[in-house]
Amino acid sequence: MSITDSFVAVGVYAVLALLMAITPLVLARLVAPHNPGTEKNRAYECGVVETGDPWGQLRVQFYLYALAFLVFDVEALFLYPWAVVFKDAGLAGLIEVVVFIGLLVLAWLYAVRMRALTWE
Amino acid sequence: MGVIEGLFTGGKEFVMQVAAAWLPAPLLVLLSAALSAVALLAFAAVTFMYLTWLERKVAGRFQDRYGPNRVGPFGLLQPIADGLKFVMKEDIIPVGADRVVHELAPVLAVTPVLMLFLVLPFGRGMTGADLNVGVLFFLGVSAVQSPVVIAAGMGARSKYSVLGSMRAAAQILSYEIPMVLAVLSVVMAAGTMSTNSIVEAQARDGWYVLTPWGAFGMLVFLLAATAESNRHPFDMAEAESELVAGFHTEYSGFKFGLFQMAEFLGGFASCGLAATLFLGGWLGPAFLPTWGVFMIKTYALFFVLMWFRATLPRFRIDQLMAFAWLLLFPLSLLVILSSALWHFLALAPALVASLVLLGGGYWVLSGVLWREFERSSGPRDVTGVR
Amino acid sequence: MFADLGFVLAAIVTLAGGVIAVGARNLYRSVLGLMLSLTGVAGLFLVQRAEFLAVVQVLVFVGGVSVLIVFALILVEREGAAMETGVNPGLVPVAAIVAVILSGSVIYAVVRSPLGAAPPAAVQSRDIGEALLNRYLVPFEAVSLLLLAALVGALLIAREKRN
Repeated sequence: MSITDSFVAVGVYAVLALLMAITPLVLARLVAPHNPGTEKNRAYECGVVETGDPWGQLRVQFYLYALAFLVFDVEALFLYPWAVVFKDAGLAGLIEVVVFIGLLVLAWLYAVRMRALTWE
Repeated sequence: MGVIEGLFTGGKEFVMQVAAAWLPAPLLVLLSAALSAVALLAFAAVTFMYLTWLERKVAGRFQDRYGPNRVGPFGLLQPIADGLKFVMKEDIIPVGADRVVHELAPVLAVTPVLMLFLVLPFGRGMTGADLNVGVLFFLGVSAVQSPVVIAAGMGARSKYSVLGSMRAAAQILSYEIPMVLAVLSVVMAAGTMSTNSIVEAQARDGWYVLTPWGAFGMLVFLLAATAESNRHPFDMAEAESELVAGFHTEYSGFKFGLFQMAEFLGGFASCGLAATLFLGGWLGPAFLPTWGVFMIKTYALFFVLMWFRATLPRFRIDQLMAFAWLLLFPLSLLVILSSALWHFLALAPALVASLVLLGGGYWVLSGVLWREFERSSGPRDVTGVR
Repeated sequence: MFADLGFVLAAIVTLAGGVIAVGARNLYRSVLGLMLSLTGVAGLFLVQRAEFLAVVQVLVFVGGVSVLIVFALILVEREGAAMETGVNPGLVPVAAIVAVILSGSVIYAVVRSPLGAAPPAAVQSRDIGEALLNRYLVPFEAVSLLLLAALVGALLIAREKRN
């Protein structure tokens, strides 16, 4: 199929998938009982009355993981166009990419030494 | 066998020919897209239902008991009973939760996972939409689950939900990179990102799993994909004994059902992609229809995932993250290097070099990982809250 | 015909996302609006037949940057107060003037530019690959260096927060 056709397929599929997800929810809204009560509507904490702020203070570690993801993900995506022409690019192309990956291995080593990627 | 083989493509051809007589051209394109979409979505829905049945049966048998067998013969009507139950449960939204987000999150969770089925080559000529960037589309849509999971946790205003969703999101991100890199090695060998073309490349070159880089690559991919769907043994974020049910604690009824759907179908779609990339997709003996071959391979891989669930203990959160960043990520880089060597060197030196590289690499990295776990053993804060 | 329809849809999604991102009271809803907007941009890339870019957009921005922003928001928040945001009524006239000037300049530039109206030929990943390795080799390697610097810098800053 032509490129446009495949994009149209993506669009149509997305819309139908959304509909498929929403329909049972709408159905449930019509069919299910609705009896709100204080005990039921509380957040669940194993039966104890909840204490403390639900947001809490989260660790920097999560942010570091997202950061590392971003850097290495962009690297990986830069490698994809190379991968498609890899065979034609030959040894020269391979060396260029090894340099590219090498710099990022350095980045990874640094992150590991800084204990940025391990959960303390 | 020609009839069975072409059952779906033939059926669609027939409908399109009938419609061509009285529909204008643009509407025909829409109709074609809609037919494929409806078929794929129906398949996804039925697959989800029977995957839950299969999972319970298989888990039961692994534990030396029958799975569900009361509702219908062999418990085959169990999923229908479960579905009805979900629809009829009361929808409880905790006080203080963001109403809009609570309604949206399950829908946002399940829609990307359904999109995954669009690029899987179910058989010869049976890809929903054979995009030129098919595998990257798959990976991109998987990555979208990360912020959605956070939305789900936020929509519930409960410490467990928020914490579970943060961990699940971090987990998805951490395992996304090895997955992207493992797929890269296949794209290198096949020279294309289109899923169907990768299958056809394997018709020429042989299944990629039969090469050293392919075997390791498939291992990395399968482990990373299991972690992406939050399946056991990587299901820390939703483990009952740890966080009640993590980010989907406060969702009842069909909303919970939608989260389950996202998890199961995510695992299934990943098995489908692994079968496509490494096991030759729909390539198989001539006496089986191509879509049958694809199903067999995908279910075989899903069986392996169920086997993991029945056999292995759960990873702790710090072990989870270390496994992704200290082992799978560098190993996937070695897989890429090995895939490159495989193309440039002749068979024998390539085989030796690859085995040294990958085996040695695995040995070194697991040593590093082991030392890391030894070092961090002892009392430590694992809850993620200061 | 589909290109036009697709463009309109993608543009609506992008703009709706933008409006939600700017107008929502709750910061977390703003992030959701941002995600919608970024997905709309991916749709715009698709309309231009730049498939690779569209998918990269979804993977990096919706999958990565959105999560980064959310984590940053949560880390910075104090007692749930930071999640609420509002509009300062005194600034509305100034904002309106700035908005008119900015959008006027952009519209003027676009209308007067030599860019064609029809979508360009599809850009193949092969072409991008060949370009990266030949014509744009130095920028390609420079990107790697840039990523290294970014990671090191960010880790140095974050390390102080941890200790």
